[in-house]
Amino acid sequence: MAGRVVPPTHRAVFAPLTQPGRAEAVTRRLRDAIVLGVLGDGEQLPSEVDLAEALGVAPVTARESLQTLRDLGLVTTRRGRGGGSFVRAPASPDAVLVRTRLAELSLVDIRDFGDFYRAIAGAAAALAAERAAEEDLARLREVGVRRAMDPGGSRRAEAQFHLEVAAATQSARMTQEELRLQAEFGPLLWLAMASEDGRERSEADHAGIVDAIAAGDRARARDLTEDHVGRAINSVVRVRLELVDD
Amino acid sequence: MTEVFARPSPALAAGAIAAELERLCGTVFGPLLVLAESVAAALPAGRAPVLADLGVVRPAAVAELRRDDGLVAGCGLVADPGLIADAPWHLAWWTAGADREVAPLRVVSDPACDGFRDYTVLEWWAVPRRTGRRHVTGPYVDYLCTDAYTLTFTVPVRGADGSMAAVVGSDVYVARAERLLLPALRACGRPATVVNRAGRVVVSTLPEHVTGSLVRSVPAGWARHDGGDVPFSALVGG
Repeated sequence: MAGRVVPPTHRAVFAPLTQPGRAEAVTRRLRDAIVLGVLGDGEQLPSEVDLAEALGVAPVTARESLQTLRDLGLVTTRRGRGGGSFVRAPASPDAVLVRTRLAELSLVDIRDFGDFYRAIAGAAAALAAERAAEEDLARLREVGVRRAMDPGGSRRAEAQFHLEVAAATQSARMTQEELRLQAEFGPLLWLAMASEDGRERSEADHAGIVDAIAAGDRARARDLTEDHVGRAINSVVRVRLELVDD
Repeated sequence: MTEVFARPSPALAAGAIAAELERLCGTVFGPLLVLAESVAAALPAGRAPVLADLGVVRPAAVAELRRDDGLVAGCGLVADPGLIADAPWHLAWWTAGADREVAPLRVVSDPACDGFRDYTVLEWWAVPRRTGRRHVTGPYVDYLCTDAYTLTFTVPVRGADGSMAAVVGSDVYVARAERLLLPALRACGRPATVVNRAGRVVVSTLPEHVTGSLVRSVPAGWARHDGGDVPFSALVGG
């Protein structure tokens, strides 16, 4: 239960690190979440102690990481009552900083993530075709064709669509994996949403996927989803290649 | 070959399972109905309520989370977005972890945030709002809160003007409900399945009726018993 007050992607951000113990790993996790817009501007971060506990690191490591984020200008800390550490989101994350983050990824990294995400998203769509009831389809239709006016809004709508497909499988593990992948890579993946063309194409893809799920056509739901994710990955690769020329 | 033990007929067995379902749902709804009344009585007339008016919620939620049967994994109140005067947020919700430690749900309320979701369109809010009646949502993957396969029980709280001011509710893990229901299903000695109104399987003794799958039509020779006041049906094979 709960509502708009509990962003699901947050749990992935504050989940234990797989390689715990290093301040750089904590910094990277939080920096990505802020830069990619998973954590919103002005949002309060957990206290040093809570953050350390959530990520499975020593408090001193969390403190060191928060100091780095302050130095980067991505976090401010206020003392006293009502104080704490707050997110300072960059003004236009989609434009500059996402590209900075992307520049750190190799083509191998992108391909590796793309293969895995395609497998998860495709399997989820096939299972959803088997399991989706009327109300699931209604929700999928609603979020699938919602087009926001800006790339950020489209990206959220895109993430929401794939999350609803995963939820329609009735598998909590499948849904958690979708959330984890989105928290880690989602904003990069949907760089494809930056152009009006990309957004229109994506909307048409969603309509086709929902139709296949509604028809109970597992194979078609999987194929269309894999193509859809594949196109998004190709967009990321194109942007990454442009960075080589800059 | 004669049967050593007399088995109840499918219809009789389905009736017995439906009664067990009603009993189980009753133990979740009972305290929520009491809480909804207490909250409604605590809402002031003539001014917007403040957080201090909702002091009855926490002790009731904690009591539910500490039930002996461990059935309730989350409990609390979600107010109408415009209800509470002195809080920008409108959620008083607690959860119990694996160690049964009670913790408030972390609250963030930035609509620009990735997780922003208007809950007034979600079933556990929208249905009580539309019907004015209690409701069970699910089973569904509750990725907003429990992260698990869940049933959400909600009861509307009436405001002074008669409209719905809030819902009080409990989250029940399907795994936990299954543990309590399976003995009753096994006891009838026939294949037995519990589905929701959409035909979605909550629990079954038939491996083909995997939890979360849809039973689109009652198999031939099976009896079906619809719960009177709960949105579940018991299906029992011949």
